[in-house]
Amino acid sequence: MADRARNQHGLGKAVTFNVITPMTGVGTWVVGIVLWIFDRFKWTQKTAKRLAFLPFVHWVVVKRNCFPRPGGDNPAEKLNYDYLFFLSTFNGPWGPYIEAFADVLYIPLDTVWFWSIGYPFARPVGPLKSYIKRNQVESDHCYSAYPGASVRDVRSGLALRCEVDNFAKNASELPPEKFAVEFNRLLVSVQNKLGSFGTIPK
Amino acid sequence: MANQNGAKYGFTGLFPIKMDGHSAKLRTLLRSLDDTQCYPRGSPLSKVPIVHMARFVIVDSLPYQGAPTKLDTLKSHYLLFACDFDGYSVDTLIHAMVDKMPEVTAIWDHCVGFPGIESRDRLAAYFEQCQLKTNLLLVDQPEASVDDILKGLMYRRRLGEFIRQVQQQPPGPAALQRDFTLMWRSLQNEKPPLPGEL
Repeated sequence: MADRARNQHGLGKAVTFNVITPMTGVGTWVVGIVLWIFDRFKWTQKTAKRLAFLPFVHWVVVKRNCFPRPGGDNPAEKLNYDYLFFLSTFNGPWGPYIEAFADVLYIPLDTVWFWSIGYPFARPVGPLKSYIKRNQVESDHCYSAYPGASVRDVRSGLALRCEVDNFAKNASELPPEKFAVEFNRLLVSVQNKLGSFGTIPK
Repeated sequence: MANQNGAKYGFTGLFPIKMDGHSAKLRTLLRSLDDTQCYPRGSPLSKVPIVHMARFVIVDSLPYQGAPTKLDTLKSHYLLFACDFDGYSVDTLIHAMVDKMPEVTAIWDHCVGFPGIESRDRLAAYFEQCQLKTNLLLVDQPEASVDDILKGLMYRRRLGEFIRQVQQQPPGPAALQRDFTLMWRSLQNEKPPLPGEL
């Protein structure tokens, strides 16, 4: 399972997902503009962030005559198509990940992948899953600095640290009875940010 | 700039692999990096403290969509390396990897044009030659460093344990305040967990 980060305690929650799809020259031009728009106007990424299972995603367009030739030592590629590399890391199982994309992000998905040859549209999701399986490439090694933590775990940890530090600074000088009241208030405020996390034991 | 999102840089590189069996050898090497007996924190990249996530993929063919589309055949195999790290340039990654990860030579020696690690400038130039522009980089926490995230996760774990203890054996208000203060001070003084540990 080289597509999943891990450590000595077990398999991580982060799974890498690599899809390479061919595009015509016109498609490349359109996709370049669309991705630029998504990059320039960050509010377009809000829906993807709300799904809360994507720590990192790279979209990369590689033109047919732009496969790297450091020093010119390897032969130039002679290809019929340009290629879109979609390199994602997600949490959770593969099937529901694709279904969530198809359900919630079908508009941006269709806008970008419409220009990939053979793309069947995001809905219905069955043909989309077949298309992805055909074009998916497995990672040979992957790594995460926090393999046992999902996107939600990371968000909770960062928010919790802020709240606890603020509480400690504001409540440290209170008399014990008032401190206890404020501590209970803190518990109510952070209860949804607690919970265990970690790698899946072998 | 699409390679950058907040304080994070998303590097995507395609490195042509040497002919005559290097692709198979490189694949064997990469798969061996999953051995947690040799790398208890999951990868040699765990020694590079600025790296959040990374992957190595050997691309030895391109997908074929069936007739009437044309089949594209690659003349070279490629090592795809995608890495998300704290920083603003490839130089930062190169310096960190060369300093902390001796496996750089073992991996990239299989690639065409690899100049070795003696000159960081030449190595950075090589990585830039093989770099692909990331058209769109989506990052969930653009400003949080590896240390910030590990510390946040440490806080979450320690507070959870503290609350469990307090609920099992409820202390009086003075003891609660004292114990919480001790726990919080130890969190301030403790180093965050190492990358790959959690």
